[in-house]
Amino acid sequence: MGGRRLRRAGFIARFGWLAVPALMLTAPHAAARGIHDPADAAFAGAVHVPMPPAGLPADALEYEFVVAGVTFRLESTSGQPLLAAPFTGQTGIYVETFSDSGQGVVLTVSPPVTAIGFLGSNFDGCPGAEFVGALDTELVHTPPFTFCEDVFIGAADIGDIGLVNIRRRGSLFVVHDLRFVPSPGSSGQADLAISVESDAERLLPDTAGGFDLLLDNLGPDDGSGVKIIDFPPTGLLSGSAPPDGVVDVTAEVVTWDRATVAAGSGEPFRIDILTPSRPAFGCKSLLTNIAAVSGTSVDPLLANNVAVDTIGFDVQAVFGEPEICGNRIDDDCDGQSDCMDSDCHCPPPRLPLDPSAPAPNCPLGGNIIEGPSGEVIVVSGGCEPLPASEHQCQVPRGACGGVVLPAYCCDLATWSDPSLNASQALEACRVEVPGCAPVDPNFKESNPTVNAAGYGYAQAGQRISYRIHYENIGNADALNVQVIDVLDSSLDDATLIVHDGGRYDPARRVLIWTDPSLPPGEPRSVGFEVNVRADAAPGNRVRNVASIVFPNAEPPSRIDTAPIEHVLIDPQFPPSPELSVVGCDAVAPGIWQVRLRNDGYGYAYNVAASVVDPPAGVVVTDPTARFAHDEDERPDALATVIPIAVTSSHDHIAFTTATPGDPCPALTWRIRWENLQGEESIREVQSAADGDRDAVPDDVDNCPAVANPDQQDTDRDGTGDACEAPAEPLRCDIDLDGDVDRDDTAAITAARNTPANGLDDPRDADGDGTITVLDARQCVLECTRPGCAR
Amino acid sequence: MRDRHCVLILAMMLLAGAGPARALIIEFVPADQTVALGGTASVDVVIDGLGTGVAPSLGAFDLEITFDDAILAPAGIAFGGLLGDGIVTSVNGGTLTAGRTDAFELSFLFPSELDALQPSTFTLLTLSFEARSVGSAVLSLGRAILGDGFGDPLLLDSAGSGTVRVLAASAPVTEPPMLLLLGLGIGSAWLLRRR
Repeated sequence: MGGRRLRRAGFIARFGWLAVPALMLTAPHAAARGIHDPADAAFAGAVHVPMPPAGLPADALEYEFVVAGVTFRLESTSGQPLLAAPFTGQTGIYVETFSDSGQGVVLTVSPPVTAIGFLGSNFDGCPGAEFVGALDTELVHTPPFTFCEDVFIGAADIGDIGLVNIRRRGSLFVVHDLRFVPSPGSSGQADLAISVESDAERLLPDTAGGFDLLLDNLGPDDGSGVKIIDFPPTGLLSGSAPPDGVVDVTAEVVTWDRATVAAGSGEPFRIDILTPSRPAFGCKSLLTNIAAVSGTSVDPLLANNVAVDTIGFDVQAVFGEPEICGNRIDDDCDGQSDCMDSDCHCPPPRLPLDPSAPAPNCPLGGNIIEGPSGEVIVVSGGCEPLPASEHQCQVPRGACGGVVLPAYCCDLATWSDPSLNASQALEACRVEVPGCAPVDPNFKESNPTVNAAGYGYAQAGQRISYRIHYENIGNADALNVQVIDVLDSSLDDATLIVHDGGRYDPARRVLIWTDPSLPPGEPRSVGFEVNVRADAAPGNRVRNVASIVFPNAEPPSRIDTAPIEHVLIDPQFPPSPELSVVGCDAVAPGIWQVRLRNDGYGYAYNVAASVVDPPAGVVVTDPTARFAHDEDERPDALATVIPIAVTSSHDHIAFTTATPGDPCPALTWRIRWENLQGEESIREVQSAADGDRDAVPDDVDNCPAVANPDQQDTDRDGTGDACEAPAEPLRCDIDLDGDVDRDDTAAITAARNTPANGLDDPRDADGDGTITVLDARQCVLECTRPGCAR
Repeated sequence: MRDRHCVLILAMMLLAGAGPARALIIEFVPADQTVALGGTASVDVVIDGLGTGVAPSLGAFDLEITFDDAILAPAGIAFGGLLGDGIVTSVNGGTLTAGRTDAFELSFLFPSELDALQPSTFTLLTLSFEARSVGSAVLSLGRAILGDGFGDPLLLDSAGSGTVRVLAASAPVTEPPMLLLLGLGIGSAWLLRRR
């Protein structure tokens, strides 16, 4: 198309005197052309051969290999080895041309092919090649003024091509990928097809099962170099090899090689598995088996080269069974686990957030964001939320393991929508795994958005858009890449719209996209959108995982994206922060650090709490405290209060009080906060009722109806003095020390035979108006200690 | 003379056996005694009329005893020990002043313990005096406050008195017949002289 076609004197010279009449008698082929676009129609169905070819020695100047029945022979005429030197930083075939004196690489092709091209990287000049076909010769190089760092040069429509001189003066070129289209009849075209069928659609945990694969060659010719590839459900590949198969435990793949597969023939294969135990295999689990086939022969139809089937959890078998409370498993698969299940007869956790609902009395366990049992945010043990600093979430990074992020990175919006003012958090919440891939290029995103760990919220009937990103992080083209996604049962496939050329198998609810050729470092994505079923109940979850299969990688690889999981909420109670001040800690006389509790499932930012209208016993001089997560990088710009946690203020308030304990729960606080959009909310809240306004919460006030900030309780009976009737003095307790002993009788005998001091004189025990020894004797009988001892 | 006191007390105790309520009496024992000038007189203050092993028993007392301080000077008080030991199980005290002695004792024992401890007749206390001049001194009970085991008052039916006679130190103490003979001799001599 853009290539310049030249007749060359060299061509005439090479064919001697016979060439001259040929030149004279043969008109140029009308369609002959050089090609710079690898997607050109001439290369549809082309065979891709990653360079360098397998087995190429490091110092070889010549090398021969066979692909799809075609023999290729490479010869370096520059004196440099064919294998690209390390200084290039590339792998491939190295082509060095300093002059037109024949330097470069000569490629001979037998039998000749109808089209051939090279994809590679250029280091100097612009590469070019001379394609010698049966009808014409095409000299192709990059057009002038073209940035030719990564180029494709090829040719077609010049008759079968049997020779290519890869060279252009002043160029250094590394070929990564060779593509060719065999001549019809000269090489087999075999439509290889694979199918897979599970033993059962659904199984219970710890049950044997398997997948039956069937390879078919739909012809018309025999297939050659056939490789059958199976990716069992992740984590279920045992080390035992199926008959004739090769197991790669690390890559979790089984392969079978067949040199030839006769046209019209078929062959079964088998993968056995044991379903995992609960909770790894739970109500929402799908065990996905992916099978693929490839060959060195030309395959005219790639769509049937991959097949998927699944085994789900047998929900019907457990439906109606009693829920086991507290094991963090939805035992009866009704979408509700533990306290969320009415079987447990305990107040539900606040999801959906219902202010009128009683506080949970048996909270969930685990980290702030938790896995397969499905809670989006849970607390850890006990009834009290953990300190904010102890929260975290773990983000899976594929083969790199996982990376633990501080909890504030787990906000639903922090990751999926960086346009919000969360840039600081986004920058801080990096997910690199040291020494491993900096980021996982294969991932999903969705709208509604999810957080770093893939959890988000949706509701019945809501439309969810998914986009699956994938990338070839190798150094050669990935061929016949498959992107596979199995629809969750809570999604209504009647509303499904598939973008980017994907196809949908309604029987298996599987979406498949096929990408014939994926160059390195070129991120791509596919997407679809679908509604949540209108009758889906709040509390259920929509879980989605995509798989990207690279069948021609060595070994073949399957990458499952991190899951995206939406919890279905009741729209009446959307997740939001639920903030209250639960206490203060004295850091110095009159100086207090404030503890703020978020009982909701929403994040809050730039939170400030101020004491308003304090009771008379509390004298406030600095009423306002501000809150941030310990790991906030710039709390002055974006301070985070995370859900289901207690966050301490990063500054202090100042007040004095006569209250012996912590008055803060009994105070009224005006709490201001923002969401990620910067929208401000305000609420006034008092954590603990204080009916008498003495700054002592009623539930710990020893006299809740009467203001008694000092909580005086002289007799230490738990009831404050303010609530007690004046104590009836103990009879004969002359010295009012709370007991009757010899001190009291001595006081009487010392005053004996004197008039009593009025009617209430305790020394006149018999009330006769005179203090006598008889009064003392009566008091002896009132003594509170043995023997009237002191 | 001490033996005679004991005989009297024993007789009172024997008379106070279980039976119909008896009159509550405080006596001075001996009721009459003679001491030489400069000598010491000792008088027991005895209560009679309590129950024997049963109520009423004496839980406390407070007595005032008067006397002629020209003849007698108070020298001491000793308590009887049947309300307690004066240290742990009772407390007692008194004042000795010219012509009057106060004494009290308060028991810390329970009524049942007092009932078991006390006979119907026993010595509350013993007063001692120094005979400071010749003459006859009468000991009288002034204030007498008595309480039973429960601190209720016990009312005295009667109270006795005591007499202490003090003679010159050189004068022999004669028996009444000798005085009679002496009187008769002196009288005879006087009659003979008139004749």
